[in-house]
Amino acid sequence: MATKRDKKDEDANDWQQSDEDDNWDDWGDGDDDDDKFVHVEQQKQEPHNNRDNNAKATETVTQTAPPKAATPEAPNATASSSGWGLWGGKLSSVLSTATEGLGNITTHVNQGLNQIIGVPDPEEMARINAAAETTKPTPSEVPSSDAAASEEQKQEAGGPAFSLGIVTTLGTKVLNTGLDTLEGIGKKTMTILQDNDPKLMNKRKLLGLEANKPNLSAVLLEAKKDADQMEQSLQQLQIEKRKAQLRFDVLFENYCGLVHFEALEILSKESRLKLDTLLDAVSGNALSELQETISEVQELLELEDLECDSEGDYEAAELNERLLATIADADIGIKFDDVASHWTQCLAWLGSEEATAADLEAAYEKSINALSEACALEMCKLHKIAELLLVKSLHSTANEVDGIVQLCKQFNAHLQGLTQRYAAMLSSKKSSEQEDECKARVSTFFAEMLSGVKYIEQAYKLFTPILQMGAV
Amino acid sequence: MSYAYLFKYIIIGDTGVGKSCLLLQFTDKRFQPVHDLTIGVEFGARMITIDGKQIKLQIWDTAGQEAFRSITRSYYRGAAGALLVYDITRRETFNHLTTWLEDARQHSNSNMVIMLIGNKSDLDSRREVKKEEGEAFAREHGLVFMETSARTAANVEEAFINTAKEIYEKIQEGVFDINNEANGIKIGQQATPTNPALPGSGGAGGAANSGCC
Repeated sequence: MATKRDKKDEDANDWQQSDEDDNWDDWGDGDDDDDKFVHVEQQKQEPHNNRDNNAKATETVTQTAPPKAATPEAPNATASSSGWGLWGGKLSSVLSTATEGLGNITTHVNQGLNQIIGVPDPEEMARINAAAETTKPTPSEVPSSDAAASEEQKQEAGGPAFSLGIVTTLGTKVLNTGLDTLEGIGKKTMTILQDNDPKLMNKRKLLGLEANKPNLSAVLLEAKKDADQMEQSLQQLQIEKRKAQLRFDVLFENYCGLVHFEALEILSKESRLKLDTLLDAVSGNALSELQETISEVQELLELEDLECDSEGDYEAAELNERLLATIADADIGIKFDDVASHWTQCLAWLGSEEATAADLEAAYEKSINALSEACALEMCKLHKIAELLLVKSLHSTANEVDGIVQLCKQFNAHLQGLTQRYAAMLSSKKSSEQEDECKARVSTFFAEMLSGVKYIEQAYKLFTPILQMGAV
Repeated sequence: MSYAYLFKYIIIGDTGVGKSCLLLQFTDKRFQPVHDLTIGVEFGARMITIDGKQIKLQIWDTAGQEAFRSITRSYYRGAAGALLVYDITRRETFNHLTTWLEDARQHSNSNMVIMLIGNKSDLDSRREVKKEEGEAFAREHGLVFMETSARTAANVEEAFINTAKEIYEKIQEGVFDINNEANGIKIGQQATPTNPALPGSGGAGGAANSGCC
């Protein structure tokens, strides 16, 4: 109840203050707008009246000067068209001044309005307005003046011209009023939009068009730069990683050389265990005979020096033949086609354009890969030979020992030869600024070759119990 | 490519059941119907990911021929997983499973995960061993069972990866002593840019990284 009474009081107050214009301002933005709207409508009314007066003036002209009746039509028509242009000019100027910086966004907004709200074409709007106006009762002078004009026109241009005259005059009037209304609405809209928001800064913010904010292309550019940087560092990391992979040990494992070596180790250990159990099982003469055979094999193997030099100046077929010849007497039917075909590939690459064009980095990568793969293939062969020796039923130990010795020599020689050939190629990459690095690469390459040779030598030692097993 | 763990697998079973084909399908994703007889053992390797960890499977594909039995037995030791393969179109390969299993159990560590595989499942019209029989055998001996086809690649990935998962679970449970290499598990050094010298590397990139030889 109290509130009601309060309200009543307020009402009363309002009524008391109603005469004061200031009170309306206190109602906030909306009211302010209303106020302005009214104001704009008043503005709009004025030009309308003016135009009406103008029309009346022309009409009177037509009445007073019948022979020239048709001529005023033309200026009127042009006036209406210029009115269009004027209106358009006005609108655009209003818009451009009001939306400084918004630029072509306004056109987008206009298009958007057309599409979304279905605001018709200005021309169409005018036509609709014209239709509405014709239904309205026009000022009384108009029909009469029109009639007078038509009479004059009949004399001059006949039927079609007459009706055209009416329509154009009327149309011009209607158009002008309609356009004025539109202009008023446009102005009003801009006023409302800009209310408390000079230069539309807040609206821009609202639409995410903040000037200080980095625009989309800048953001994209930034993102692209970041991505590029990331990619570059990733690439760098990859290169580092690749470089780290360019070591004999790593590549030897990748080419399965290490696992063959490990398998050979297993076979060697197994054989050693079997020999030990065998030695435990026998006694007397048998034992001493057994021990003699075992030590004989050992001596045969230890006598040999696996060192062998090569310049790598041989073809794949030659290599294959030589390797086959070493082990032929052991009669285990092993083939070295893969070692030979690898050498064919190596020679093909060394003689290719690619090799001459490659930079030091790429050339070294090729070299170390070739070396590691060759060594891994050799290790695979040694492992296979060990397996075949172990499953063989008839043994000719002397031949086998000799075969293994010769084979390991040839394997080492091949590693040497391959290294020599690749090192020569690497040395050819020497340039003034890279001389030290080139030298370093070549010496690393030779060092890596030595670790390969070491693997072959170790494998050779692992053969001892395997060959001894065959002997006993 | 560095790995967190390396698992050693062996593939065993009668000659001609498709052991090498299974390996080739797993490492190279291809099928080669005509194959040389395996001498002793061949190797294959591939990286897989389990539980977000890179695991290198090093697979020892043994010869099925009787002549190599004495050698291949030596390779059983130090395997973390075994694929015991038979051919569903040849009953005798199924009948030999008991011998293979005994051999494997005797020459390897007791924790080895064994997966029973009935291969050539694409040749269903020539099937001699029912799937149920394989399942029953696996149940009886505590194995994991799967029918695969190396030709169509059906279940091949699953067979290798499920075995790895089983091994991985055993590691988590603490059944496997990962510091003892005789268990067929190696711990890889994780590659870091500051530690470039790594023994474990999976080779020429990509998931599939074919074996050698």
